[in-house]
Amino acid sequence: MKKIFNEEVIKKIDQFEVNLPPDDWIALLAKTNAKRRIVPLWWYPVAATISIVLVIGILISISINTYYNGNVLIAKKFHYEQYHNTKKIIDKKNRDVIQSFKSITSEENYIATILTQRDSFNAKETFENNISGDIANIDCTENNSATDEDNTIAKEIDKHNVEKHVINSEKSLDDYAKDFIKEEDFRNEKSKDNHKNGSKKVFARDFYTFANSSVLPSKLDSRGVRDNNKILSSPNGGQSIISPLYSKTSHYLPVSAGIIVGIPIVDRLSISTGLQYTYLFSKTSNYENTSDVLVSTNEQNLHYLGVPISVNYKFLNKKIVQLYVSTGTTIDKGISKVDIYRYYENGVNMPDRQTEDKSKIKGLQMSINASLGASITIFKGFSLYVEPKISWYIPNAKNPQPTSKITTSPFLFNLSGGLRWDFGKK
Amino acid sequence: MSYVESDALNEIINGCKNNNQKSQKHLYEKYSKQMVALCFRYTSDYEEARDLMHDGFIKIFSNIGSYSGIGSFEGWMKRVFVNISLDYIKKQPQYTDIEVLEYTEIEKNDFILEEEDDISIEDIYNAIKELPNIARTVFNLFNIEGYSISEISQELNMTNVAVRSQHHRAKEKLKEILKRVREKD
Repeated sequence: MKKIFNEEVIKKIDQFEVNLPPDDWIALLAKTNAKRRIVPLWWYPVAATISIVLVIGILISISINTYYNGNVLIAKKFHYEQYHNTKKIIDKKNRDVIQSFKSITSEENYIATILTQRDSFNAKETFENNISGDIANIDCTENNSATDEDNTIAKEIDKHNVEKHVINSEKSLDDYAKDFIKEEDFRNEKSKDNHKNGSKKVFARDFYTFANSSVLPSKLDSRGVRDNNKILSSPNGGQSIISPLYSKTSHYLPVSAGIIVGIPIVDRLSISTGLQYTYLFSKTSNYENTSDVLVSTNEQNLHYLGVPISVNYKFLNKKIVQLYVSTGTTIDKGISKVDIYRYYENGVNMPDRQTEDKSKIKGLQMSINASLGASITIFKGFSLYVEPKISWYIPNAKNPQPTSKITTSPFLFNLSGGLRWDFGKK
Repeated sequence: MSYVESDALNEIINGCKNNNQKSQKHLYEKYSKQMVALCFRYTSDYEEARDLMHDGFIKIFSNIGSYSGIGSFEGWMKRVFVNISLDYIKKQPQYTDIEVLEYTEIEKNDFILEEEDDISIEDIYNAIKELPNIARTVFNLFNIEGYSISEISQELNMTNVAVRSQHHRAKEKLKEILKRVREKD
């Protein structure tokens, strides 16, 4: 296609001037002051990404703190229980000893041995010091230095243990000791369970990465569109003009591959992000209208690099099979557009001439995605997954993207699959 | 541009980078008429062209820091105004309804307008403004701004065939208008 002006004429047209009103500079100044700063489009996804990362970081730190604090709480309560039960039994034992004092037997020594092994045993020194002395002098009253909280906890424990602590004069001290040991062992078992349960609620240190690709057979995803076969009117409205050429255009579904990292937040909920490459292909073939002879073709290759961000919820988590739902957004940036033109001047299928044209793609392409996924564990830490997904590609009005499948059919159904690797999983 | 002129321009540019209003006014006075004429070639509406020219200067004043000094400053400015004009064109309702109207072998109907021709630059300028919207845009980008067909097709989201046909349409229409002007004279 040749230019219709020479360089001189072009220069003169380019430098042509049009008069402006004398107060135009004032009008420009007024506009400059009134103009608000326009936030570029890309700031919003960047801000959203930073916000999500901050929220994840805060949630992680809260979860870790809860874990440690929870353990401390569990341990503290255990010690309270142990302490008070020991004290109670000591007190009751003291009473028993006092009440059933006849003579000091080896049973008292046995009880003393057991009870001195308790770290939180408060009265052990008193007991030991007086074991050979006058037992009646042992202070068997309630420990008055206990705090209100201690007493409250003691009362709560008493509600569960009151039957065991009823003094039975027919029961020997040895029996009491055995009961206490049983109770102690039972409590130890229970505290171990609490630890286990607590750890299940602890922040699960699972991270995973996977590669995915989404492909559909070309026959299923392309649809030729015929253009230019119109009988038209000229600008004057009278004469008909028949286009000598018509085109067929096929847009193919996007093919993508990437690496994603998932960060769990709580037990079944996780956030994933990563890097994704997407390839879009379109082919336009131009034919002569009368003879249907192929004149030229244009193959458009679009390359995008994107960042997907999604929230995933695992609603079934068995040893071999996992099912989950996922929703999120992907921000794609066009890296390059390559057009390959082929010209068939002699009307046969071999091109006579071929040119290649590379150009940049302006602007971003955002999409919103929702999917349902299933994964099967193949061996430790590795699983295969399949994920049917529906995507909506949001049109960019400011920087329209090159015509492709995602611009002509913004709602797309896609099938994704890949390999997932859970590293750090115990 | 002479040494003196380029020094003066550099001073204005540096002043604008420091947000000096006086320098901004100098820059505006130097280029505003030319830039409004550029925008007018795309919009064919004077008030819209003025608006776009103002927007262009606001953008230049805020982004002049990104001009590295490589290449002509005037060329850099023109790109800004062309992009603003194209953004305006793309938002117009007629833009979304592009059809490929006709495609003929333009080499046969080619004509070059020489300087010796009796048509003034003003007549050509006004004739360009009378072209239909999309055809005018394609014509301006290809003939005046020097864009290639693939650049135009990417910019306007059209096929190459559509670009060629719109350019041909512009040429045919321009011929008609200039014929009318010659006959009037």
